[in-house]
Amino acid sequence: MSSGAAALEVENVSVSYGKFVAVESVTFSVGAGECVAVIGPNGHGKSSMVTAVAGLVRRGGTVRVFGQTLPAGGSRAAVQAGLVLVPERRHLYPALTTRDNIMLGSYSRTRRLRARQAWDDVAGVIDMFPELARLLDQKAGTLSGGQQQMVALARAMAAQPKILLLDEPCLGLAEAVARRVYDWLGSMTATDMTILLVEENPAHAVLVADRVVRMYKGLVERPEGSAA
Amino acid sequence: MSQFLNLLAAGLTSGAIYGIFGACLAVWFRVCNVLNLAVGDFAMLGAIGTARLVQTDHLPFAAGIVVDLAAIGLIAWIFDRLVLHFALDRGAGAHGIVSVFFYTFGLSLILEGAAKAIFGTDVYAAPAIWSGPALAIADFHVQRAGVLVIALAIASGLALWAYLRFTVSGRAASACGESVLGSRIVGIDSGLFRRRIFIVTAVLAALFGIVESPLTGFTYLSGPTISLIGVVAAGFAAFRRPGRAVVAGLAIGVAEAMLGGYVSTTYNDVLLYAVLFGIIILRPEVLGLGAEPA
Amino acid sequence: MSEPAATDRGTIDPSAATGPAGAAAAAASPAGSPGAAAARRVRRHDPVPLAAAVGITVVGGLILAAMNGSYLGLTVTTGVGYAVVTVGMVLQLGYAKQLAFSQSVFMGVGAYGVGVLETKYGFSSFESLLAVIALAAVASLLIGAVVTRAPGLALALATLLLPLFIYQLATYSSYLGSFSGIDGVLPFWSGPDYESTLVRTGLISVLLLGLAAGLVLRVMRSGVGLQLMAMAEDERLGESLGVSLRQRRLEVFVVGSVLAAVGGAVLASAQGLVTPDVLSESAQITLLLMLFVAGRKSVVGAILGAIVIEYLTTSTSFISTNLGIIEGIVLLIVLLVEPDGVAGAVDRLLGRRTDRWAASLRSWGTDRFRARGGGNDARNAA
Repeated sequence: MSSGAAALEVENVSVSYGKFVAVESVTFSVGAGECVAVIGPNGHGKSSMVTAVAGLVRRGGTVRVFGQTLPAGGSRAAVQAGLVLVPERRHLYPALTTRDNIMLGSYSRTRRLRARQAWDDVAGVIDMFPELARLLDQKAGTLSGGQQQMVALARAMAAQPKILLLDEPCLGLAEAVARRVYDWLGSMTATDMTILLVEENPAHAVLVADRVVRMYKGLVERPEGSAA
Repeated sequence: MSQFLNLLAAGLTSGAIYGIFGACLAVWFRVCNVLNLAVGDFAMLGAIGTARLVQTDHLPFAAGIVVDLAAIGLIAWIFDRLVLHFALDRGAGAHGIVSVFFYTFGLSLILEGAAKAIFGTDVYAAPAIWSGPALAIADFHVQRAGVLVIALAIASGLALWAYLRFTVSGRAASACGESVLGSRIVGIDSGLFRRRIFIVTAVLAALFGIVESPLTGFTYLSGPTISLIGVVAAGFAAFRRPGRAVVAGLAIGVAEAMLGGYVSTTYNDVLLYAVLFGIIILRPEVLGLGAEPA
Repeated sequence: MSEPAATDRGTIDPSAATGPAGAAAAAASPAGSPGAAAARRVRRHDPVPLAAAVGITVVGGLILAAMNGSYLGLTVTTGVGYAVVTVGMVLQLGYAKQLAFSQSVFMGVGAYGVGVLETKYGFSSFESLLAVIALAAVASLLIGAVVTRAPGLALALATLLLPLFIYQLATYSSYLGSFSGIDGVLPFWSGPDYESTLVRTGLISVLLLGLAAGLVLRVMRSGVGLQLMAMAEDERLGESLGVSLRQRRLEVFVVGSVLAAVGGAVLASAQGLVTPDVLSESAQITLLLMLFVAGRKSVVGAILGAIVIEYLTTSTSFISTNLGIIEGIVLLIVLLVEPDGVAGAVDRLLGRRTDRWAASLRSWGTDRFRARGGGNDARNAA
């Protein structure tokens, strides 16, 4: 639930790929503990916007996390400020085990440690995804789509985020699996986690969002409120 | 029997350098999906550079080694920042399988040309680190430098394996090669890993060149052939596993020696390359490559 | 040249390579469908390959005749020999992205082939050329059938090893003349003296180059060429479009190898001798450089690149002594700045210019049309 102060402020953010303008100018904010969903048709800039906020592509404009301005490039600063992205199509490490995939989520905190110590640090994350417990030693590339999505979420949680960005978390997943993801997201909104969710399917979005923002042709349309 | 053991010793000695090159190649490829075709040239520069510094410029041996290795590290750093950074981090330039070979291939040409210009076409050998006559156990002879090389190869292979296997940093390095975006979202700087491991493997190769050169001598052209066999050794380790690459390299060295001793001294290399060629073509699965393109 | 409309904004998903693959998918229809038939009808009247073949032969012939058997003429003829090889590499490496480094080996097959057949078996130069083509075709078919089955990286690795042991075989073989090679290779076409012989041999070489260029252009501009591009872009995509991967890979390998052999024959014939250097790794390196610097997708680029680089490497002593460093630096610059080589850079520059010319032509044309009373406004006004 929302508690007032802005956790994430996005101001005049723009993204271009060469001459091609994907995001013209986006301004909005997400309150601490709030869950905001960004919806809109495919190809209108939602993914580019959230990837840019996470510092993975070059952007114009300003991003502030709990009042602190993030540098324009580089994702390390974002992660260290507590801003963690679960990217579209997951981008796991297929040849590494599930355990290693999850463990690496904590990299920015544990990079000087031995692998076993780092795992002990994050093993609690598995409690959120008990179905992964028996898959820990399996190579991530051999998991099903739904299982991979769980691993991606677990990896993000291992980073101990304060603000979670999710880009189309249910892309390509069966409806039953998608529901499982949204159940988990729903439980996250009950905590004080701030969430920004990019979702193509508005029906999914309204399940968990406090507020919905619509992007069309690289611009944010007037924000619409909707009951959580 | 003694002939067999002596051939084995000689084979392990030359195989050690294939193996360590293979390990260097495998680790770096694992991190950034680029093959370091210049690894043999780094070894060559290590050997010739130290020989020059110590024998011509009369630096003390230890100082010569340190200066030489520092220079090699610097060259590797410069190449990464000037070329690889733009090619791989910024996405400029040629992509795909071309980048796997040709960037470091260009570096190799430059290093050889520079070596020829600076050092000429002579044969150089750095002074031995562990000097003295060959060690002998009954009829079994092995050069001291050979012992050093083999020991170093096994030690380095173990160290690289342990780094990848047991540390978070090593896991992160592997992650870079698996997914650039996936590593960036957890704060891993893949460019930094690539650069650091490039420098480490370059310096390691140079060190091997220094240790090995009393046995064989290096010219400016010595690099490419050893690099190539190193690539094959790394190939047998699926371009990922340093331990396996060391073993593969040792095996190739032993095969080379055995072919030379028992079959033909002139044609042993020809036979060896032909056999390797055959294995790669007929059994690409050995390289960890199935029907799917790598 | 029109900019995308101001409202046409959307997202590019950087992880999905839809651009070139999409175009290839649109263009390369499975054989037998109406689309493919239409493509064939259109392509049959494509004049470019024939025009290129004739043009190269005529222009090259005139140039060599003007050089009149001088040392420069010999250098250019040698360059023409390399050009035949690089033209084949445009198809193999540039278009189909088949990373096989076996061209120098087949160049050696061609060169040694004509050398052995002429000096030991009394073949005429024409007979030996035909025999060498046949030999290369058969050899590359047999080798290719096995070799092209291997995935890309394995193929590259294995063919990197080839020059190593073939070179050693050649230097150890007294039948092939060991390090000194074979002397007394016949020129393609003898004349009354050395100069005219060189010119005439050059003419035949240029004719062969024209044929090679015509052949490669014909393939590149056909439906097969599109299939090769699709295959190079994404093998699974190619397969799903009905491209027979194995067949195409083999065909490309054979064409590249046969052209390399012809190039080797030209080299041997122009220089009158064959040495093991033609088989060496450094010969392979030189070929790769010629291809990459000049433009690996451009036939004209490959030809000019081969001749220019051959000239540069033999002319000034500065370049030939520092060849390695220069080659390395140039290669890196090309890879970083313009992966399609000099030809690509020229294309880009020309592309922008021709766009502007076309636009001004169009507006000039419509102005004149309207001035003469044509166009909708005039008709409506009337």
